[in-house]
Amino acid sequence: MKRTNNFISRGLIGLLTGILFLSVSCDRITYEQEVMAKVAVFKTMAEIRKEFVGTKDGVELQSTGKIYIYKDFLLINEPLKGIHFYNNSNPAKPEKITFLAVEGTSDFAIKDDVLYTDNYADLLLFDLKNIAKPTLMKRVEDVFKTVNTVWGWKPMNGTKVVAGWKDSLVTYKNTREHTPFVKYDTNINYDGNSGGTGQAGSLARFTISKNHLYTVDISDLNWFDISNKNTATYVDKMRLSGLLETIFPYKDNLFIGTTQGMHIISLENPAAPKKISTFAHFRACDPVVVNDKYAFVTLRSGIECGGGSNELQVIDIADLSNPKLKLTQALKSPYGLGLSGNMVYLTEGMNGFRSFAFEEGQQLSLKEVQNLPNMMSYDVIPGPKSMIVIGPKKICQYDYQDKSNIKELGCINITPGS
Amino acid sequence: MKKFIVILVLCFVGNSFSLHAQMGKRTYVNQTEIGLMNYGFIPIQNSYSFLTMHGLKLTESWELGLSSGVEKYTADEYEKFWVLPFNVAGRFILNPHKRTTFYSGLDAGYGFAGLNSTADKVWNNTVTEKDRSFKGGLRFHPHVGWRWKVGAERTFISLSIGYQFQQIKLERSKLRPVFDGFLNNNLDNYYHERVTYNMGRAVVKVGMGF
Repeated sequence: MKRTNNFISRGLIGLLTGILFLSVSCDRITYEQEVMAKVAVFKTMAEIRKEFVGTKDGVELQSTGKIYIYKDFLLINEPLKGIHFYNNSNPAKPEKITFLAVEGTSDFAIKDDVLYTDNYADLLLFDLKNIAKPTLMKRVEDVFKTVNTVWGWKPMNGTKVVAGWKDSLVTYKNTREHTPFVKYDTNINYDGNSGGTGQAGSLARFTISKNHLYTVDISDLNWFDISNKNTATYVDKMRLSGLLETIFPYKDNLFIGTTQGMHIISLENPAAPKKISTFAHFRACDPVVVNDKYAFVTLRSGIECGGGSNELQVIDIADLSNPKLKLTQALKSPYGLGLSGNMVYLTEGMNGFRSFAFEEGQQLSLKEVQNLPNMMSYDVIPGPKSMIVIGPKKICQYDYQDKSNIKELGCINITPGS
Repeated sequence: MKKFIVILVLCFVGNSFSLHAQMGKRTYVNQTEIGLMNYGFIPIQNSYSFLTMHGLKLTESWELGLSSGVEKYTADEYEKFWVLPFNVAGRFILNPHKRTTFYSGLDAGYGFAGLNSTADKVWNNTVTEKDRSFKGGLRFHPHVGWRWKVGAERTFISLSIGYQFQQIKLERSKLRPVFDGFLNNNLDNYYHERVTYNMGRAVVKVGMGF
């Protein structure tokens, strides 16, 4: 009997030991890496303010941000570097006028010959009366608390910003565990229009409406009173949910696209914007354009945008306090979009360019008009003289009078930088 | 090096029979096992083991010897490693004279990694890893199980569960991905990396011996 008990007890100890072995099974993986990398170089705002801000000749367009049509001019923002000016009186052959060097710029807007842009934490005002020689009128200091840098959007770190990179050998050590039953997330940081103003695409972060300049960084809507042409007065800011991406003004409202939805902001009192509603969706990137009845929103999934889907949503905004999804159209990888009459023009990144006719019969419908899979594109502005389409290697203008067959007029090449 | 290790393993496995003949029936023991290794109760991302132990019966309950064989690991979902293990192996048999008995064991030693291919890894027609080299590492395998005598006097089959630890070190130059957070730049397309895999596995083995 004693021997039997002994056997059972030892067997149980063995079994429990075995279960313990099973429960601690995993891979513990240690990475030691040596990487040639560019590490951040910080500059203070005092140093940045001493640096050159003004026109430079012979600067090639290396990357594109916002495209802006102002009068007969085409202005192209090169993020963090400055703004390229073109004479666009002949869309088939735009002529370079000058380059305005502004370090740390993320976007700009124009009203009555005054250009507003950011220089990291500062707002700069340029006089455009002589468009070949924009002159700095005013610097409004320390108004932006979250700034665009080579390292993406970052809160101001005291008075310092990341202004560049330095080549360095970086060593890196990291340990993690793997089992098939626990999934590890990989977190990767990524990083307007009317009345004396110009026309921008759907990927804008600056816009002007009712004598106020509205800007979005990743978390806040900021606004400035610009009724006095010689200066801009910071008024206030509003914290909004989601990562803010785009701002689109329409009549008395602002439509702000975020990674988690679209906010509708009333500008009835332009000095005190008021949130009317939020149309929420799955996490994705979403530029917005709007007409009287509907908002058109593209959702894109991917690394920088989070999960979600790739589609165009048509949202009924007749009742601004209660936006309703009316129609969806599946897409491959939508970026910016443009609206002209009943036509919706959609850029699909590496998957080309598409256009749809929007029809309001008994039932809302979107009918594809053109699908140009080889026309790589990231944003579109249906302008008064031409439709401007931004691609990865060139910015092209199209005659779009024949909606079913747009015709290329001319292109500006983008020369990738080193 | 690879050939040398393979020959060493074959000699070791083969010698067991001649050693058996030389050492006599009473003192010589052998146990050959195949095993399934994974992260727990669910058999996914499996690894496999084939191991032969050759030893001497020191007392009625204690056996001591050497074990070797070959193992194939799946680590971190996608990495595959071949290992040639050499262990010192001990066994404790609770009731050596009974037909069914509980036993426990420990195999501890070094796993060589010389069988792994050092050729460049190519994905989508692009070399994603180059300058690859492998080093083996320490290993141990505590386990418990049961033996059932079958047929002749000393022949038995066995079933055991246990834990297997094996370390493998991999050095490689890896192609930088398009998105890699703050290190994203075009300075150098490849970066050098030393990766240490400390693999812990739950093991189920069946075997036979005499």
